[in-house]
Amino acid sequence: MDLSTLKPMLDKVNGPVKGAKGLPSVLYTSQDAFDLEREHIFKRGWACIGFGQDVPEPGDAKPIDFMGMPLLLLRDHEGQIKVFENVCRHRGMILVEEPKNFGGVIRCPYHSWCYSMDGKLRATPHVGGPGINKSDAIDPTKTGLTPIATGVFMDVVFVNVSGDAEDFDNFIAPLRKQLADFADKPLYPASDSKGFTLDIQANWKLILENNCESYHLPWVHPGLNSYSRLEDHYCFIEQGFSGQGTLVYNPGLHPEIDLPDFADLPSKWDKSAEYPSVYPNVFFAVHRDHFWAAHLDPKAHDRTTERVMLYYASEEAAESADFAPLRAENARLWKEVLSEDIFVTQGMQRGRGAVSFDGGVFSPEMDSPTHAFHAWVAQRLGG
Amino acid sequence: MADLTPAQIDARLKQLHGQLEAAAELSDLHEQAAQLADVSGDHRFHITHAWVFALVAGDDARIALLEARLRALGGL
Repeated sequence: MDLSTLKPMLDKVNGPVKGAKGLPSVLYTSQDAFDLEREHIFKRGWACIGFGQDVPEPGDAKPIDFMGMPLLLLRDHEGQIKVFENVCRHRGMILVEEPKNFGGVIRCPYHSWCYSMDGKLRATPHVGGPGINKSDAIDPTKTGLTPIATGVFMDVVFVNVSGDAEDFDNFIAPLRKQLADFADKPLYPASDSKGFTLDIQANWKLILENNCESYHLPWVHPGLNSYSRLEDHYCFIEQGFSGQGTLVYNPGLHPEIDLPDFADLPSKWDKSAEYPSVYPNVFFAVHRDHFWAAHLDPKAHDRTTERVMLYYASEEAAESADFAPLRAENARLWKEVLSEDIFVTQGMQRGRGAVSFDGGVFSPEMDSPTHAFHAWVAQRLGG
Repeated sequence: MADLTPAQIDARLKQLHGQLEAAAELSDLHEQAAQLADVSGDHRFHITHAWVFALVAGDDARIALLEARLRALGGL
């Protein structure tokens, strides 16, 4: 598969939503397509790889397999999030195999080349012969860990592996505007019921597409009908994301107590909540009393890990025993809702095996956010 | 740590192989081995290893001392 063979199919995706086709099935069913997307979408643009909470303490480091690209997410001793390629510059050995805290340097297990948390090459033992720890052939200033362009927004960590995407501030500006009431507020990760992970036998795009729209809610999430009807939802399409919102957010986690709200929120958030699906692979979910994000980690063309991390509005809300039952119930509810989506994403994945399925059609009224994502993918693949 | 014989040091180093949480002890063991080395190359070899494990442990004071010794020995 190459881009030229895809182009006629991708051209049918672009244009007005009325009359447009969905992305062709081959983009969901083949390793070749997965490889193309890795090159043209995930490497060349900004994509999510995890959360700041994955490395909560200075010195913490977590290896990440980003679609076959070994990365190392770390928090340096000054508390800054950094991402490097997780390979020694000497022989390309994987440096860190499992999450751990580094009090000192990161040592390659092969020949013990050592790197400080800022990526600088700190030691090259025996490189000039036994006991000689320097060599004219190795310039430490040019042989540090390879840094990866990194940006963090609301604790969600984005990377641009190619390093030539637009500036992160420009990339995130439309989402920052959409979520302006939450964007700069401190977030407190839950001390318990932190989140959950779902292993889904479906292409990553299907999961994001499903999150874009509210059309499916009454059919797939019947529990929501009691307090969040279809007509209480709205959709939006912006640069780099699309999604849905509700006007009647009122989860009622406990009959007597509520989680505290984020400070100084405009009154519109008393009953509203919004769920932007940020292309290519992360959902944001803002509510007056909590925030979550879901990272879609593509593992194969037909398998995705969805990892959700929950945050609250204050230290007390996130950590106190008084709110522990609400945190547990909140996490349980969201896991239930997102798990209810699995049968449709997995069903659509199997449906992509139908030889006559042509990508499907869109309702201009209900599917526009999904079409916007399809068009975004098509454009990045050259359509 | 009490002074150990070369055989005891060697046995303990093998026991701790791969256990980076024991980096401080590994650094100390190599420093002891360096003191017992009767060949200058062996001495610098063990000081190098003591230095690497001090770096892993993040022991800045020990790192500075070992780097000074390595410079004096022509190893840095």
